[in-house]
Amino acid sequence: MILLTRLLKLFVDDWPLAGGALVWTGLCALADHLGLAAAWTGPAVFTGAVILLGASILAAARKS
Amino acid sequence: MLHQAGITLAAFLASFVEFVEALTVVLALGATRGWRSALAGAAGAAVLLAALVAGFGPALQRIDLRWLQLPVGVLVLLFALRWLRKAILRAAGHIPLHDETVAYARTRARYATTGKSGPHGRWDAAGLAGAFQVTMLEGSEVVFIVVAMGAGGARLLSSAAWGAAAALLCVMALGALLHRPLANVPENTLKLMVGVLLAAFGTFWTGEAIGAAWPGGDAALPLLGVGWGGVSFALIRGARKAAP
Repeated sequence: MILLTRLLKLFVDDWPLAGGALVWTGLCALADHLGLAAAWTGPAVFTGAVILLGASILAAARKS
Repeated sequence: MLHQAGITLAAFLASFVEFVEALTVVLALGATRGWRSALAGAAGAAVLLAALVAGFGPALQRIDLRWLQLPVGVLVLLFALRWLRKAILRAAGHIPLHDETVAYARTRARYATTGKSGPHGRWDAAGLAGAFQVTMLEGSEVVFIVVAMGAGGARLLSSAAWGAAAALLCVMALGALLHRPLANVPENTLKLMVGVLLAAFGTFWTGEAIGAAWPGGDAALPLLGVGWGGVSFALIRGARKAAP
């Protein structure tokens, strides 16, 4: 259990950020698979991650 | 070549930051509980960490890259976002900066009053366990970076491993030379740089794994680095203004 907690802590500080990144990547993969966004998949992954990080930081900044 | 250089740099910088933090605790333990136990604990953990890299690194390379690229890319991206988030909030003043001098004093105070301190030159269980634990704790991030960055092939794994080993040697040499915590190392700037580098790799690999054809192939990697760097600086400025 301690090992699992430690392992999770390697990747997750903020659950909405990590969960959002996973969901967004899944949606990008689905869009690419369906041929909806073939040329935009890479930039879409980047843009989604940037937006999620920005939201997470601004939320933390307002709380602190 | 671009991949290898970036991977070596990311592994070196990330490992340097982690080993500096471990050195602080090992120095404090050496001063309070005896050098033999502190150094043996740290050395034991370093051997175990090297064994983990030697075991997991080549094992991952046996898996087809098509299956591996997406989980590795996503995990590297999540790992990078965590480092970036913390470094940006610290740079903006929302989280206090990590101070090695304070960490050293706190560890010394804690271990000076923990149980009976063994005479210097003899074995001390608290010193041995403390040094082993902190080196394993800080080193687990190094193992992840080296194994994940090296998942693409033997060359990439050796690039990452050499970067981490060079960082370990640098920190050990500085620790032996100065005999005090490396308080002047700009840890947060290094963390920000590592976050930017890993975020670029994580985005690139995730995109590639789900079918993206990056414009210019590998040449997109430095552009992603520049993009993540620009985003980080903009977020630091935004977070400074967003204080309640």
